[in-house]
Amino acid sequence: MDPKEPAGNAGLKVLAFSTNNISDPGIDLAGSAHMHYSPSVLVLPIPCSSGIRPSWVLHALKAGFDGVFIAADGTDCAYLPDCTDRTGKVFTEAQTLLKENGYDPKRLKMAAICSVCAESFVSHMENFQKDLIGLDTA
Amino acid sequence: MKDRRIGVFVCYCGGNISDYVDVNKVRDAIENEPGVAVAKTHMFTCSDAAQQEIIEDIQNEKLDGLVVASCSPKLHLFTFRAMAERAGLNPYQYVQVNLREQCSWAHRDNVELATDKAIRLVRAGIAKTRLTEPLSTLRIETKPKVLVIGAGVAGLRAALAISDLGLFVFLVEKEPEVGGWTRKWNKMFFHDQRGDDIIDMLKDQIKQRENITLFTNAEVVEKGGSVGDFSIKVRVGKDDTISLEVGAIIVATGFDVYKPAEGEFGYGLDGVIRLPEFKDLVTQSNGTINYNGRTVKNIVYIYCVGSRQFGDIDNPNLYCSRYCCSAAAYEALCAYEKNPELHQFHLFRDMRTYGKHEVLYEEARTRQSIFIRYEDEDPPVVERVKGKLRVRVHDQLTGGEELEIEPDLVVLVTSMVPRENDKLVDILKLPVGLDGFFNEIHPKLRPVETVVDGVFIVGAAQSPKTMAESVASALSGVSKSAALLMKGYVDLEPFIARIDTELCEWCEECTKACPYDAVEKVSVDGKEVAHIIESLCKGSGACIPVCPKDAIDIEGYTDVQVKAMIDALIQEAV
Amino acid sequence: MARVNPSFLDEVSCSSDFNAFACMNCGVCTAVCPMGLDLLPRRLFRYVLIGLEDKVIENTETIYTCLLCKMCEENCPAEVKIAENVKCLRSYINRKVFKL
Repeated sequence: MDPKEPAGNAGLKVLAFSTNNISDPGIDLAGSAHMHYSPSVLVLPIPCSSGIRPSWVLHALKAGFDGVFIAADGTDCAYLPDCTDRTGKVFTEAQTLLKENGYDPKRLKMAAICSVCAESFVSHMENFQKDLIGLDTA
Repeated sequence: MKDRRIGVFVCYCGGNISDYVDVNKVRDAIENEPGVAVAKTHMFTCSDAAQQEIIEDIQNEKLDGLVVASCSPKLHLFTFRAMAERAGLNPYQYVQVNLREQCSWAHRDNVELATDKAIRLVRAGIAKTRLTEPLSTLRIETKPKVLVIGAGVAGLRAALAISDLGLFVFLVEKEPEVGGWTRKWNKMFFHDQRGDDIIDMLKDQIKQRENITLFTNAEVVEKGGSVGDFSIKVRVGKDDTISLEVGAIIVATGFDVYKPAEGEFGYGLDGVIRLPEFKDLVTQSNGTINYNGRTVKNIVYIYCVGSRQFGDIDNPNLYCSRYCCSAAAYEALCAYEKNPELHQFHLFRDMRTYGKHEVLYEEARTRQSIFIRYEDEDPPVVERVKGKLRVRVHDQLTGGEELEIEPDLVVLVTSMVPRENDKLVDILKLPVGLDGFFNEIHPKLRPVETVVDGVFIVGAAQSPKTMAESVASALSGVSKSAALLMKGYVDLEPFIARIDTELCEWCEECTKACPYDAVEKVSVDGKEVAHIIESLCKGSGACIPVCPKDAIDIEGYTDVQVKAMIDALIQEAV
Repeated sequence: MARVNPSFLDEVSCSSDFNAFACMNCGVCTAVCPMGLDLLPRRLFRYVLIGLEDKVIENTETIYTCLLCKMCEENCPAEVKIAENVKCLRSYINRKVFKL
């Protein structure tokens, strides 16, 4: 871990899946508004949160990420009216996969981040990194 | 994997990035990454001069991949795609890395860590680019014809505007007559123009247009094809079905008037009516306003009936219906004009006679209309006591005095609600919002487009609107369809699903998951497999996680690409 | 509970100058009143507008305490002709209460 990471989150590495149309603009807005969040949060944009493979979550933890955050489309999804349900299913399957592989399922978190949800994203990141500190290392 | 020749261009953004990220250090860290042939920095990558230099690099170095690490892709994705194309590079082998919104601007307190993150992000961009393949857009020749569904004021106005542009229009109306709600209305604000006059005028114009075909008593029953080239079946009358070929579809199906539940603000009691019915009474009046043979002297209006609902209601209408405050204030003025002896009490929550409508509110107040605000939590109570209507409400301006009014008529200022259109929703795959109105892609920037390319939603079918707003929205739908059709062709993004037919066992899961009917069954060498209909797939990826064989990928976001990006992101920066 | 008499307003508005409806209930009139009459004129005219006759009659004394100094009228942002309106009210009370 990088020793210079600001105190509080111990530089825990978080992979955040964002979505091109909804949550990625929300995360952009956090930067545009010059809000601060940990530089250990790395964002990977995809088209829609319902299209995440559970195996990508496991892959990320195996590769060394401490946690994975799904910045879901929620009810704003332009593709699917039931995007939340579908992403929820991906989330549950991914958690099962993590358990089967000896990872704490709490290392995966999901929340809907809308295209203007900058503050919400920042506070989710702070809380998630705090939550991750308490978890046993796999 | 064959050796790639990737160019990586890292942007200073004139300090927006370079003040918080050591841009040169980023370049140094990635220039020896496998596949990277050129790594440079620019003060402003988007500037004309920088673009020209990059084009030269692409051509001189024979680059086959491009990474631009600058601002958010929302800003310049299309700029650099076009640049790549000008340089002769396949535009889908270019990847944008977001170093500004998602790095420098968010981590201004720590240059070292921001630089560390920037290196990881650029590496992930390179990793993704290494796995890109040249893709091409799907070009579809468009039909210069538009289907307009619904011949209310929005649909009629849209049809004329399309016709003006020289495109052919098929206008389909479910009812035997055109005009929708507007036809039923008499005088309307501002200019006291009558609704039926407006409709007659539009109808006359439409009759004179050779490039508009109107079908009444008609319904859309089938849709095939996709943007630019839809094939539509319309049932006309009882038995006739006709086939149409159109390039775009404008949905102008309008709204319905809220029907209050039995007992909601006294609805169901004799003398409790809705605003449209009251409008009819005022229209029919010669002098006095009569209801059920009785002369009406005192009227109570209750606002926000079916709008801005909250509390213990199933699926409450959370929205404001926009037109009703103005319509009720205007109707009170019309009623006053018929009979200046009337006493009119308006029980409202908040008056929203916005914009130019404010004068209606002002004027109503000078014409015997008394406005009494009620609290959300303390709505008026309507009862019938000893044969008389009685309304109780607390008046805030007298310190909460409980008033008892005995009106001859209670007018419920009812909201706009979405029409029941289940069949059409299913046929067109229209996205419906939680409020039941059709959903646009972006409420501000793309207000009439839907996720179904070539299908536009206009007027009150999209959300409650005044007539002026409906027509504005209709004309916006016209310009979007015209922009689509007048070019003659449409290019579809290639970031769509692809099936690995060797892995696919045709289990139907992907078909069930696809909301766009984009997956069909085909036979490949005698084996039944899924096939993606390119023109229908939107590339959402909804089919990806449901496939038990992991046989589906989205171009640009393939399994190997995502995993390679994850690996690059976690790799120590230096 | 106060019963609304819708025609009360018609009876009170003695002249075309009666314009209590213009009141937007800001309360400036009450604030500047040299007699410190908190009922006048804001709430008083609300009673008239709504048609709460009893409430108005109850306050007959207050209505006659007004000096008609027009301090309120000078300061009214909605240009309510307050003194004129009070005169209308007095005329009504003279007829109704004092049977003059």
